[in-house]
Amino acid sequence: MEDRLPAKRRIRSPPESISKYFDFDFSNFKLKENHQELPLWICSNGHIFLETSAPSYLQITDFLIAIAEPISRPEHIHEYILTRYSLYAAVSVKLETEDIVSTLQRYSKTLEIPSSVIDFININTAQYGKAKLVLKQNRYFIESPYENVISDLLNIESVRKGKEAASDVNMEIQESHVEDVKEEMIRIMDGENPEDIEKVESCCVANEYIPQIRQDCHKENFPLIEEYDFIKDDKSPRLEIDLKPSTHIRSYQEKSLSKMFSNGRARSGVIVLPCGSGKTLVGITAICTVKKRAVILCTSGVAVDQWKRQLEMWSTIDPALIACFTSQNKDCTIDVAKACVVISTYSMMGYGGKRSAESASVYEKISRVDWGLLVMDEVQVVPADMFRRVIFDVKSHCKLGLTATLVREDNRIEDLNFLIGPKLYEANWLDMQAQGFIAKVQCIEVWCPMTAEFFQEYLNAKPRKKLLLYVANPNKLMTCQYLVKKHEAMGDKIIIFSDNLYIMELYSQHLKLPMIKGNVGHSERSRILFNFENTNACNTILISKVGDNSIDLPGANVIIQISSHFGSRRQEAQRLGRILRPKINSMDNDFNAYFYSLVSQDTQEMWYADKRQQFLIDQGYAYKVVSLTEEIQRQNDLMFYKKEDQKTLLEKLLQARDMDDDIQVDPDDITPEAMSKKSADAFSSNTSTTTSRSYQIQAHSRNRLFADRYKKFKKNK
Amino acid sequence: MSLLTSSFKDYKELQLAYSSPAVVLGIFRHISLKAQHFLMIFLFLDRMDEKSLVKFASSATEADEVLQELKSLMLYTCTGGNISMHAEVQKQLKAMLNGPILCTLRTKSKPDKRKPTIEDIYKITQNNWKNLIDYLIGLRERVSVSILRLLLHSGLVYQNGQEFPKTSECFRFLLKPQSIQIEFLLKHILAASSDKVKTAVFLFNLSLAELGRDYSTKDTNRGIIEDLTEIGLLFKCKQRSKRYYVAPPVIGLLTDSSKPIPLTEKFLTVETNFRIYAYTQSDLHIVLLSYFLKLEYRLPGLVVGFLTRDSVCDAFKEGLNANQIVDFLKNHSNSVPQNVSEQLYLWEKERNRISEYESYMLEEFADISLYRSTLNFAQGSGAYLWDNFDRRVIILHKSKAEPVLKYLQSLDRIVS
Repeated sequence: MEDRLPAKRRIRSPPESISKYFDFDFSNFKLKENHQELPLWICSNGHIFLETSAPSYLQITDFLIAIAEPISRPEHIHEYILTRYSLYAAVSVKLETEDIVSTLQRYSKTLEIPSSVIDFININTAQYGKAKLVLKQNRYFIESPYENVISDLLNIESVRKGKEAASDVNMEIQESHVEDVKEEMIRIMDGENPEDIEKVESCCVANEYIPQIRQDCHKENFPLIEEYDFIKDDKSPRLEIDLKPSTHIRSYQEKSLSKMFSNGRARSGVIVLPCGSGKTLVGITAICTVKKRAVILCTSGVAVDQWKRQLEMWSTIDPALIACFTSQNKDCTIDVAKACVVISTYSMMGYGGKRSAESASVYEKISRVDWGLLVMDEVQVVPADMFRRVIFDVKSHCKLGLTATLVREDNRIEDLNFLIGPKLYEANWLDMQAQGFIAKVQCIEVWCPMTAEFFQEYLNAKPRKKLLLYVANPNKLMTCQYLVKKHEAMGDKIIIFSDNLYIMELYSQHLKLPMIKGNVGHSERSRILFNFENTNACNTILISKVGDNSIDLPGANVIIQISSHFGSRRQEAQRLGRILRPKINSMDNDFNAYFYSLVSQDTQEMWYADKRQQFLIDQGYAYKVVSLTEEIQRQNDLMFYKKEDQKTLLEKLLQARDMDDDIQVDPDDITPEAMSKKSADAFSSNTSTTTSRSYQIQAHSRNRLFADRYKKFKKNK
Repeated sequence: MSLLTSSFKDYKELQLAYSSPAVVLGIFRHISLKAQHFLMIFLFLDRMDEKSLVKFASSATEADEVLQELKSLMLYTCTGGNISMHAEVQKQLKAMLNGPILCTLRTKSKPDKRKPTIEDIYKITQNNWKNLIDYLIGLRERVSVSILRLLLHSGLVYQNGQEFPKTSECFRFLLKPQSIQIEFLLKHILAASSDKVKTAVFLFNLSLAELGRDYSTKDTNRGIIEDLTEIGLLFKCKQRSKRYYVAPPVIGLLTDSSKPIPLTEKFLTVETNFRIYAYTQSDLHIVLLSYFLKLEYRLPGLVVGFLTRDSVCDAFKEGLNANQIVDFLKNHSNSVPQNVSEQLYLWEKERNRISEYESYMLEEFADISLYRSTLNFAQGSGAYLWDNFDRRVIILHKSKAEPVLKYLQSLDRIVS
């Protein structure tokens, strides 16, 4: 079974030759009479176009977000796609097959909707609810009230193996569970006659097979329901926690949580909200709802502190019940017998090597008990293999993933469907911006021409050096300094992002700016951030990629990005997120925050910049391209203004040994070559998730490299 | 006015044409507002000192520009520093003040027995015009020989054996509004005609014609009437009929500057993510869009496409420029996001920034003096493209390299 509808080309050949221009021609469908009031165009390959001007736009958006993935949501027309995961998410929030089909039919502009779409919905929703995956006393069971479902499932290799590996439990007949399970199933199948459910089959499967089982069952169209009836769960201790009366939940936060907690149970899944829109509060509210032991995982020690502070700020929890398990705090005291909240980092929990004695003991305690809720912040980092371990060692009834950017440059974002659960909610950035929940940001791409000397070296340099040369392009350094000056004069708070540490130090020395990077200690970091937030002495800071996520700087309103991680869409969006917290004048129509991305012209950086921006463009952001060359030339007090200084810099760069910066192997390390190969693959299979995006990436790779042409030019000689 | 100036090389002909009130009106309506203003000043003056003319303009350059414009149309004469308006034009303009200019086309004395309804005229002429456009966008196989001749003459197609491929002028033509297209064709009909004065008077008078009224074919030669009928600018009940009717888009086209420009349909939605949605079923629209869009979906009444670097560069190769594409998008949508229009200009700029030459490289010069003298020679011969002293490299235009190579060989001989 494919994840998406196969992209059949030219299904019927319409009579006119004009259809040769199109990949997809559905012009022979008939329109409804009142089609102008209806919002949807449904295409037979599962793509759906939504007109935002239609009167029913708001209702239908909620519905589409539940059943389909948004591809792009600019101002006028949104594009969605139906996938099996999106449909799985739909049925798991209790939308039934007929509801989905009839709603689409009602809102479609065409009289009929393509039969392939109806079939796709049927196939991917029909079997839902036949089998269930439950956690009981630290073991997982697959249960079904239907005869033969379990035996069918045992045909799946991973289920069989999982059962064999758990044979110690399966030896005992699970009579004790049967009654519970039966009752549960009756409730889930509400409407079904309880008499029909005579027997509940159950089998225990070993933990390590769980993700594979989830995935395989999904493929066989037996998605396993995972719902946690936390109200009835009296085996886990109750956590005393509530939101403070003064805590106010915004409408979209409530909406996203309602997807998680409808019908009084908690279901696992991912909630996607823009940075700065209060994801933390969503996580805290979820903990307050479940009221059981909870683990919160985040990406850094700074983020752990932020979560702790927020928990104390928004909820009534006794601070003694919060344990922070971090590399600075390996021996934290946790009493897992009682209900508590553990906050830790992915690297701490997912660490595969030998642990210190204190750390190992804490870890052992955590992995011994069932947790009510596992909250995963910035969940887009989880699929990396090291993080998979976390999910299996921390056994939880329910998992909540939080993220702003559900994109990765590898295809592994889909793994989240098995590791955590379907996407439950995804907010629309432009709508939230219009309502003043997030800042109105102007994105600006500044083209900085390479100086002749740097470009000459660039053409002949090895890849690593190339990177250094386009990042250190003196015109770029000057542009950055110019922008800092300009915005400081306006009283703005500026963050300069650089992935490249060498260049960062250069800036720091020349401009006397504090910097935050990997080896800056926790207390020093906190001091710099405090000064930036609270004093006028420090209005600009330099941050390396350690600050991409989770550093919360509500005061910052300008970002200048001088070097970045290749074509990572996620990084671009995360960085933008640093200035998305609503600003005081956020109801004005004017922009109140600025995101500058400085790009060296004619270099690979242009290619990467196009790719990086794709996610934000899909959210409706428009990048304005500007060139500040003339303004820069009028300044004569900028660093590297003088040709000699530029020359010295160049020599220094060329002599520098290979930069040992902190770039690790990352899924986002995609080079143009790898990317073109990838998109070729995507086109041939037609079903790969990258298809639609790679289209767009191609569409925007506006700057086929000058250097390529130069090579051609050279050959011609 | 472009229709006239480019067609009349001979000023005498132009003078003759000015005896027609329709021509004068047409000219007057189409010159710039400043030039109109000048003509009005002249209207009741016999002559004026060239220097005092500057008083009526905001600057000397402006006065100069206006005079240039009027001069190109032979609207004034200058003798001994005194300027006076073309007498015939002056007379016509004065007459215009007394009442409307009437159409001088001849009518038939007997009423038309098979008088068509105005709807019929609309429908049939529109259909004929569409046929022409369909031919130009490749949806129709053929047009008559005489129309093909017109298209060849106007540079919309060119001949390649038995084939008549479209030129880049044709792509630009197609993106323009209908009124400009018609004017363009009329200009070429005029330019190709044997009796230019007669044709000009006829064409300008068509613009003054009355909708639904029949006129006699005697005013001009048959060929022109047939051509205009075939492309839907005139209507005839039967081919042999001696009377014709004028198509609505032609009426007022040349003589009425206040004629409201027909609202162009705002059928496009341009998004910041470079997607373009076209609410249209028209094949013409689709073909036009295909010039610069990557088309993806065709739904009943909606076409979805993508503006990509490749699709736009293809359009550039066909001879369109960014301005024309942006204009087209602006004319047919409520707004074009700034990032999209800027990107189009950037793509164009990027394209124009690089030029490729076939070249020839000289290197490994034996010594500096050889390098220097070769460089001198190359620069003198026009073959020089680029050199680098540090690396002792000279790059030459391949096509012009020959003399430099000969020069080097001759030096070789001397050395050895």
